[in-house]
Amino acid sequence: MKRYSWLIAFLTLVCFVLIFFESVPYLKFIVTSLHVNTITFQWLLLIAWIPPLVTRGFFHLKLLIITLLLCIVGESSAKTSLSIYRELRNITSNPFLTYDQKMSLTYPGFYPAMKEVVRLTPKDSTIIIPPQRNPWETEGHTGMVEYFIYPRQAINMGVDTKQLPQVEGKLYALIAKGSWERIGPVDYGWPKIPIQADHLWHIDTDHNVVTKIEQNYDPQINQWNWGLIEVKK
Amino acid sequence: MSSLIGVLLTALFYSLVGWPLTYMLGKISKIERSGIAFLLSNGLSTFVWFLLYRVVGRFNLFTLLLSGLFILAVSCLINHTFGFKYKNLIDPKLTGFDLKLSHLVIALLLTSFLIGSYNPISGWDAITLYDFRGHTIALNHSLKDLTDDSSYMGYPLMISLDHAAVYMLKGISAQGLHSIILMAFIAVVYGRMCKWTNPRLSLLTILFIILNEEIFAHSTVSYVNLAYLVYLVTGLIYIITPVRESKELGFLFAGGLLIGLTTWIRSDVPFWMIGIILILIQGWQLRAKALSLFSVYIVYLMRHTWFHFFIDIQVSSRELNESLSSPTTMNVLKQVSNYLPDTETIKQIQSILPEIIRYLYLNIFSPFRGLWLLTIPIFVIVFKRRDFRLVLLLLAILLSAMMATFGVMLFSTSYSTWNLIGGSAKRMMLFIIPLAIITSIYALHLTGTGKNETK
Repeated sequence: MKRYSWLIAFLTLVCFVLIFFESVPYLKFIVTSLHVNTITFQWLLLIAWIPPLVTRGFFHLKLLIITLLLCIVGESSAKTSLSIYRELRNITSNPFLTYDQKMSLTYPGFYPAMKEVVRLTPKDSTIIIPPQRNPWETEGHTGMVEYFIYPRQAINMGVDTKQLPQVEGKLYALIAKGSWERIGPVDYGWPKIPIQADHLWHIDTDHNVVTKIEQNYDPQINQWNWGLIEVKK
Repeated sequence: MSSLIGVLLTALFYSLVGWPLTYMLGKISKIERSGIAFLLSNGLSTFVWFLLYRVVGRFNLFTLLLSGLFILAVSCLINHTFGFKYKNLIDPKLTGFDLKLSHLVIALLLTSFLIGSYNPISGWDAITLYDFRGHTIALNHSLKDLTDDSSYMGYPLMISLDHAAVYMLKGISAQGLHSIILMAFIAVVYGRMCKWTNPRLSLLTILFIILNEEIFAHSTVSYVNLAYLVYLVTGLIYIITPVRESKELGFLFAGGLLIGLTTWIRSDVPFWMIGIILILIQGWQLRAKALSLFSVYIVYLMRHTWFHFFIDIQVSSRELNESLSSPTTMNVLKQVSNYLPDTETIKQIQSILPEIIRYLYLNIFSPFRGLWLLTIPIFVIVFKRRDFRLVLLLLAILLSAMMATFGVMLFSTSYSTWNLIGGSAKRMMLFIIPLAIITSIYALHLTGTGKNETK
């Protein structure tokens, strides 16, 4: 029975290694290349473990626990080591970045644009932002926007809403092309309606340049990645 | 640098405030004492800070200091009344392979702290909720702009208050604090496992826990899941620590406090009930009914304090009728009352049962399949060894599976988008990782000793 248990333990380890490898290139990799179905393999092994479990003594139980722990820890430590390696490589390649620079790398375009919005608007103002849908998943999320612009308030508007909200204090509108890849029916670019404006700002986040323009907003002309409209009241 | 100072000062403050509170635990090692002092004080100081805010209407460093002093004064009073004294258990001296293992553990924990402190706070939930609340509290010294929107108050405030404390100390990012929460947990587990097994198995236990990719990853981001699993698992292992012959009843009370504090981190999950069940079993088994009932009362008190506040702000921010008919309030009310499913709900569950089973398999069983399978040999060892502590550990695992199942069933009837947030269910069950590892290594130890540790 001991040999049998060792064999099952070995096969269990093999099964977990196969499952782990399958998670690296693509799912069903093992089925397509080796014609071994790992899910069925697992269930067969589970059944194979039953006879040792009901025998006297603790040897087989210990072996099963150690085998399972090895499988679990082996799989997770491989993933953890990989993630630590990636993180440390990132840290050592840019060890002295400021918090702003790191945020800009995490949210390119969006974070620098929000910083400019904060610089250009008073604290009690309201910023209208695109709807939270593709391709404005980030810049249309009021929680995400408000985190960076607080205490300014963010209000969503629809894709083609023509009526601007009535608010106390100054009202601004974010110009956003859409930072997510377009997968839906709605095209890039927001707002999609002309807006009477005191000024517009074109925010070039790639070169950190902000240009102030004295004109109304026209969606056909002002097709920028990022910008801001000071709405005429 | 300012973040590092802020995080370390906050952690030091919690550890110092919690130190006398650990005297009730009797003889424990310095490593475990540091860990549990930090955890207890982190939860209790922020909780009292919140209560003080309800009285004086202001969150600032002075009121945090007052909260800490209050915890300190109550701890000294308890120690004086019950004669608890500082008794130190000498940490085992590690040599050879064990020493190398301990170095690896320390290196991994420091790496987690480095990554967490270096990376900016970028997770969506952290940005839109936990850290946002921390920033606004630090800026306004109140809950201004948060109580108008119930989505900001859907989770209790502990983690956000931790962040607020760091920001009030001029820190830029509070993310490093989450690694310190993991360090405290590792210290506690090491201390407990040293007591239950031996130094080598204890080191392997904590190494296996840290090496888990989910746990390691959560120690470097600003989510609540790590803190929740830390308080829940620490609470559970403290509750089951006292055995019939011993007089370690302080652990039962501390366990109750920790379980209560889980509801101060996440109030939307039912696993605090596992703690209640274990406290009652231990109270009966240890003939300490009064203490166990008091511990249960503490859990309810903490849980209901937050819920009453939540209902208060719901009612005050809207018209009463509108508030009581809102889905969020209804769900909270269902959770506050002992919500049992009616016939209509049961029929609803029956109609989507196959979908629920699929959801449970994909998000609760499959991600932790190895850990769930470990319960099979443990179950056999329970029968062969009849060790009471192992019985309780296994019971905790089985109850968590049961509660997750019933929780998902009820959740599926309350929220239409329940099947779209499988990742959330997986994160909710993270605590099963350390719990199953601790249980299996303890079971492994029992198979080797040839005697029952606890009858």
